[in-house]
Amino acid sequence: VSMEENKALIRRFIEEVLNQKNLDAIDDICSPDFVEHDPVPGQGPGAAGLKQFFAQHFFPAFPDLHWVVEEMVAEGEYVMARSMWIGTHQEPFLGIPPTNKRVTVAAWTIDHIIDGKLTDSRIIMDALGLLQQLGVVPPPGQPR
Amino acid sequence: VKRTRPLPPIYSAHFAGVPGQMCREDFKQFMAAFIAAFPDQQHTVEELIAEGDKVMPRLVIRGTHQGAFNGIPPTDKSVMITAINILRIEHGKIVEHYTHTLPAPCSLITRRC
Repeated sequence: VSMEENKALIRRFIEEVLNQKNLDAIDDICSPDFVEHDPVPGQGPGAAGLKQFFAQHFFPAFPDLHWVVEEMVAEGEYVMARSMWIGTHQEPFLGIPPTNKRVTVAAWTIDHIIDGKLTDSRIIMDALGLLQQLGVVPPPGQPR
Repeated sequence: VKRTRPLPPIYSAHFAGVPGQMCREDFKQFMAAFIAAFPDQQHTVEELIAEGDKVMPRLVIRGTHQGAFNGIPPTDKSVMITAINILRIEHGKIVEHYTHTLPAPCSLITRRC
């Protein structure tokens, strides 16, 4: 499997799962024992945990979620993507009641692919920036 | 015959989620403030991916909060910061530096250029 095929798999995950909200595509793309190294609080293990997090938390909270890749770097079995996601907060998320605010959040990922399946991933998401845009944390430099 | 030499590389740094870019002097100032706040900081490369002219190191930065940071007076607490960088290299020099840290050192990011 080439690096270009690995990049295509990650682009497929972003287009089909995150942008088209097709959760069944996860079964095709991820290995069943998929591991997220930096899970969101409440995210269960495996591909099933990922599916459940998207279905019950992330997609309802940001129904217009749109994920945009700005840059990709690949080597061997790894694909790194520099991305941003945009969405409007319409249901509770991480215990925060809906704010109806539109957020833009930096989310970088390092994905590991073996034999055409996504086996493990690390997401570095700007959680502080998200909380600041939702208005639950003061902007930098301001007293709490 | 006029000999051509590569132009000196122009360095720019970009922090994820922060619009605009920093020049070399801005980045030096940022690092000086960051080092003043965490003077014992150590950067460890945990992972490194390279493709073409790009290198992507994932770092863990550990340090003790000994100087004012983000308007917060020193707490003497140990912190761990995750950083992912994409460095684009031309003629053996870094010309573009994208960085995403968790958490982000927002208020230290200042720009003049």
